[in-house]
Amino acid sequence: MSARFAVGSPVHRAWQSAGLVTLVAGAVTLPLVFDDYRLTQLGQAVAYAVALLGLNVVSGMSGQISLGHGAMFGVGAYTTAILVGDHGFPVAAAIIAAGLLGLAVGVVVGLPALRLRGLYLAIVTIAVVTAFPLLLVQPFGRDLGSGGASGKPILLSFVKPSWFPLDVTAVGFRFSMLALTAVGIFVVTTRLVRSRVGRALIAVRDFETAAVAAGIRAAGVKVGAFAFSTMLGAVGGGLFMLMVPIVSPDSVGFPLSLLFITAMIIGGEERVSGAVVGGLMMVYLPTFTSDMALKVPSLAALPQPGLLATVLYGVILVVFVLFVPRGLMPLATRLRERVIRFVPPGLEGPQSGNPPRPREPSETASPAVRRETAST
Amino acid sequence: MLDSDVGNVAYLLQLLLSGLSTGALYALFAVSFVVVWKASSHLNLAAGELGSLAVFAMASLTTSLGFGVWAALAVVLVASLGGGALLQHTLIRPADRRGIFAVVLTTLAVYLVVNAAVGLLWGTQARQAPSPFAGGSGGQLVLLDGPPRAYLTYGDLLALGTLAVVVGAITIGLHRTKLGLAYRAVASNRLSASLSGIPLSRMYMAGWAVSTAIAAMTAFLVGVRNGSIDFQMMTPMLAFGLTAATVGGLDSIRGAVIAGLALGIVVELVPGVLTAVSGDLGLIIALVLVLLTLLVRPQGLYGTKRLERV
Repeated sequence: MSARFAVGSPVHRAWQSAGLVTLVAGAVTLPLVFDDYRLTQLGQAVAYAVALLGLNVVSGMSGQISLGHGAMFGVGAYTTAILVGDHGFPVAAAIIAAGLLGLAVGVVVGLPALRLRGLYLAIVTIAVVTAFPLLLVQPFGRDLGSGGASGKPILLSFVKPSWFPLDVTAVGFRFSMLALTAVGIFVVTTRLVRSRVGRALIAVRDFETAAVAAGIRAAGVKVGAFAFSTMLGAVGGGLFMLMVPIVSPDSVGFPLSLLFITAMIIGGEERVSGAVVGGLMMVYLPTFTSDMALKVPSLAALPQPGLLATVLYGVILVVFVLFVPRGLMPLATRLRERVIRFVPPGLEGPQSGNPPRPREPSETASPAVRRETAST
Repeated sequence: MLDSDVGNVAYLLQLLLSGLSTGALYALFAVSFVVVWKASSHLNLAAGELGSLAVFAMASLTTSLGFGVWAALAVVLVASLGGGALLQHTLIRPADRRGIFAVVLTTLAVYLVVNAAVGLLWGTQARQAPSPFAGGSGGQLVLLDGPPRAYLTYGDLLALGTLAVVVGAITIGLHRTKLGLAYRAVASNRLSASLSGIPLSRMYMAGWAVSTAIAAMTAFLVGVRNGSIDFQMMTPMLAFGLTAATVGGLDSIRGAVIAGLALGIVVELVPGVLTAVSGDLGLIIALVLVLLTLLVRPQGLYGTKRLERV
């Protein structure tokens, strides 16, 4: 039988703090261990994870589907590249500006779509994500400095300052800054999701009418959640530019949105931690499949073996939707609960025999509350 | 502000004709969304990719196996009917038990697999589209000699004709046949329809089958119009088709047709008349139209307003 502790008890706090310390320590010390190539991959995964966190908020918490996060990622990446390269912004300021722009786009797009129930957000965001790459190659986009079809390179003079104590490369320093920012974003989002705002969101998702009757402004909450999520999408795109030298229109369209959706489902849309699993998946799955494909002669002979990863994504997506709809992270939580379990105050303490399990054992231990009813 | 050719009747007529024939493709694709939406309130986001698959299969049938264009079209249309029904039966139905978003995610998975499979099997380079006409869209039917001249290509005529035939067939099918009556009953009220003995699952399969076949037809016509096909050809169409369906009202075939044609005309006219708008901004215009529609008239032009009792 696992040990049980109340949420908010010293043990729970210690568990949370230990997790946080591990993350921060990892962000700072990984550059000492890994070479630049691995750090670049890992950094990309972390940047993806930030965008996926946004997607988790909108899908897992507000029960909507956004297919526009590929474009939001692009908005952030382009804004950062343009502000840093053409206007001499410091990187941090450029990423903040990118986030604000993402927020604004989220309000404009979300306001009409989210007053309505159903699939309207999906429809509108498809329009956004197919229009965005096209906008970049039009005269309008090029006037803004998008660089047209060949993409926008970013020239980073962002290297290790003299006060930074560790002996790391420029990439290592960028990785640390990226990872620390991401940890901060994850902590803030987790807090937000567990706060009154997050509970209002879940109430709207599970039973909108009752939530409205309880005094929650459903449309406002949903638009706010969506704008927050597009902001994270844009920030993720901005952070991504710390790791890659160029962003091009091909890389920020509908295909990227679909990869985000798949990664979100794999990690688990209702978990903050699912975003991290999804981010790692987005970077390592294509590498893995192309390595595998090259070993099989008939696959390596195909005109575009890189597309095998996309086929695999599709297969994984449908398998998860049908058989593992909550993603991988709840499974991980269940493993952890064999050792230690956090329950609402009053239920802790040694239990004899088979204690009556709370209907949702992981409910309070995870930031997101799992969905009770299929939203229709 | 205004284009210098704006006083030229032939120029304006040409914009209009070009818009109408593009709009016919949007309308046709929108109809394929509406057919599914009417009965099951599902969105088949994979429709366009299934259409791409069909038109690539057509290209292989005509070039490698020596089929005529029309014979190949007949083969892929029948295959699309079967494929759509099979897709609904094997993947969509189990997903439907998990809710409407699971269905959307499943269609996205099909999108990913089919899109990548087409790229894997046929390569990512553009290839010649199967077309009944020489040089893609064929000769011109000049309505008003210019310069610039106002004309419709044979491909445009085929698109407009197909739209008329498909919409006519669906209307007759819905209102004059027993299957159509059953389908309308399902669209009107699923529970009562099933209680009066209509097999819902077969109706859904029929809807997905017809929708997929219309999508295949759309992809064929897009190929005829462009003269070439590539594995990304239907991605912008997805946005245009969904826009037309949303603006027209997701459960209205009439709305889809009118909104599709209107969208085509607007997309051609705005950059053609206003010099301030330059470049290929069709998708941006579509995005603005969707947002405005949802703000002003969420149910669309001809859609049924949904009432909810709480």
